[in-house]
Amino acid sequence: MNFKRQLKEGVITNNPILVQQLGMCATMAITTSLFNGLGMGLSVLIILTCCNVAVSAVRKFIPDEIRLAIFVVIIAGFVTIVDLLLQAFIPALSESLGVFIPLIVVNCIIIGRAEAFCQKNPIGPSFVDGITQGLGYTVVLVIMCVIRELLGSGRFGGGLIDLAKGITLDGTGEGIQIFNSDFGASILTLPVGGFLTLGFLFAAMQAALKKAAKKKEAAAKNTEKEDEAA
Amino acid sequence: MNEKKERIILDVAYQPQVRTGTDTRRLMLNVILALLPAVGVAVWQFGLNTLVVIAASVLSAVFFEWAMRKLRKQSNTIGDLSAVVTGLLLALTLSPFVPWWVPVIGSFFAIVVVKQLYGGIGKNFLNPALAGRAFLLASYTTLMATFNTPAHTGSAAIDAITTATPLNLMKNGGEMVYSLKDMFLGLIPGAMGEISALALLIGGLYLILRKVISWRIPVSYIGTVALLTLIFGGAGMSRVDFMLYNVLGGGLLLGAFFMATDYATSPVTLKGQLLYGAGCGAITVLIRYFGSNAEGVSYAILLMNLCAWAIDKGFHRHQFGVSKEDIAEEKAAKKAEKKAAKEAAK
Amino acid sequence: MNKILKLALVLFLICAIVAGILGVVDLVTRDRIKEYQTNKTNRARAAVLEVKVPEGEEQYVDIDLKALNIPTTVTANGQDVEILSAAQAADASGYVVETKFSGAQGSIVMIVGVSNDFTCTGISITQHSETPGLGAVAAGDTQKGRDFRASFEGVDGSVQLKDIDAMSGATITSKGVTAATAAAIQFVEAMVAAK
Repeated sequence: MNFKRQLKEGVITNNPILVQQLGMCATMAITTSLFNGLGMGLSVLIILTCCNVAVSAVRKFIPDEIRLAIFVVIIAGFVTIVDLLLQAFIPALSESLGVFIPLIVVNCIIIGRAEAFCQKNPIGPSFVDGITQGLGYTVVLVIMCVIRELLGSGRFGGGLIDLAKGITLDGTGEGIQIFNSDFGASILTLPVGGFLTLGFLFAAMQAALKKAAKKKEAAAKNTEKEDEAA
Repeated sequence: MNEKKERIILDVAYQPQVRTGTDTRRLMLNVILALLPAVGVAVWQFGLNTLVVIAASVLSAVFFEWAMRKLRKQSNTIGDLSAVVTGLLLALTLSPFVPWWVPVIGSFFAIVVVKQLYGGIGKNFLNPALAGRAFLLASYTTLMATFNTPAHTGSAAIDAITTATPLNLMKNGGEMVYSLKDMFLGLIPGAMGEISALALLIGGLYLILRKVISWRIPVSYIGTVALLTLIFGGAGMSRVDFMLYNVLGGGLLLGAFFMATDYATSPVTLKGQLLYGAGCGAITVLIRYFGSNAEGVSYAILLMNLCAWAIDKGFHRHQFGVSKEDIAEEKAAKKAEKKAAKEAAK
Repeated sequence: MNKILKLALVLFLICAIVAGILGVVDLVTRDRIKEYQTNKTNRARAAVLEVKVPEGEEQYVDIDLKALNIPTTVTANGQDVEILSAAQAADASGYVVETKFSGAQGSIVMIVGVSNDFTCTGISITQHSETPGLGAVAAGDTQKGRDFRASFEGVDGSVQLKDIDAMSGATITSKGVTAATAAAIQFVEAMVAAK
């Protein structure tokens, strides 16, 4: 269990949204304010980690034929727990995310990690995997929220930050108005904007990964040349 | 023996071997020329603001194209004037009193996202000017929905002038204060390029005569709108009146002659073009009747742009020089072969 | 056979454990959720009709719509408006009616306050999917929106579009809100007459 390596994978090279391209539906729909984005990201992180640990704990006892059914039961259980807790303690988040909290049950990231990683790995690495993949997910959500809110309504930190009240957990934070919202292209706060922004982020990620791969290749060639010269 | 070997020089000029002077730049210049009457009417009605908006739109479009190509280390294509035309068309779909930065943002989306990111001229899958307008409609709804009173009005009494366009009045059940003559000459409020039917018809006819566009798409588009509005009527006026108001009003003429005919986003096959025009017309009428928008032209053309490739596929000829009878014969021969093979296998 | 039994047993066990945990969480959160929901509805109602009752007492008394024998869909100004719920203020100062009608981009749910002399005390839109900048202004907290909603105060059941401060560019939404206000007042009139 290499924490650093798993962290790099979760956030960059194997990012659940930008590289594995899972869980995009919620990403495009709810990233209209920082409150939503952080709330959703952290919820998924918690659910993912709990599910990973649970699946990893029972992996030796679940028969192969019904493993998907059991994964779904476990995931649905944790999602419902988080849903009830949010409704009770942060109701503003529950209202803003609406139906997307129950939809976490079918979020491909969770069932994907359970299937691809947790059923073959012990609890420790699974726990770390949950945290790092969840972190990768949250980072992308936050980037999308910041871009969409800034260009769409000239605001930063809507729902969460308020110049007067500090951090508000009841969704009433006005956010910091960077420029007048009349100049913001409000199409970006609509679903169209979600698609557009995510598309650009994919392109940026691919460009970055390609560049990194090229660098590696060039470095490998250089060392080859050096070896030959030596 | 002749030691001096004659070098046979095969001198064949590279394509095109027949130069007719029709290249992209010429085409675009013709389109700009055809749009000048509409620009003229807009300046006459709305003053110099028109030129500010047009200038902002055109200059930003050209700049973005140059900058984008440069950043990606591609060839400079601003000389083909297609960016100028996109900027001009986008400006003409806007109200003349929008702030200067609105067409700049629209141009950015049209040129950088819709045109250059997909491969540049000829490779866009949506009409860039219309896509830019759709982007602006969704982003700055209030700015895009307010129009201003024109400087010259016709039959409508001064105190009865509202800033509602004729289409808006028909949709919301207001009293139609504009006569057909007003709409023909451009004595109505609206977006800069939409108001004068006469100017647009002159421009459109010019383009058809100069063979820049074919008659098929405009005729089938306008014809379908006319037919459907004639059949179904509406807005409490006579059918013929309603049809004429719909044909002369809104962005129909601008769209039919200048936007729907964009080469990259309309079908190539002749029958396909007729179907494409009819499709645009049908969707426009549908949106005008049942949508919450009063104007359906932009979305109709954008939707049909997405179908253009499918229409071409449906109508395309399989081989040149092969007639339908030949194809049928071939099919029948293949079938007979298969049957014979089955019998033999039994 | 044995294998299937084993599968079923494992599945049952896991489901039972998960269900048990869920039951516990539900017990902990149930009351808080209910309290929040009632507070939310009361807050929306208080925005249209303020009720003066001592702290902690019920502010609005829900009316059983099925027990009354009047139709819950009212047609006002040519538009159908559905009455979702109605409640009487605990200090008998008026009624709050929850209406649902179609706007420009889908249904709108709106609460209308009706005083005892059948005039509107205020409106508040609780659910909508209108276009931001156009129809959504009616629900929003901008000056334009507040002015729009304020123009409904004091109107009676025969209010028309021309009587209020319609929003330019959002005629369909304005018409809908007017019709719903008229419908709510007409419903209260019918309800009081039926008693």
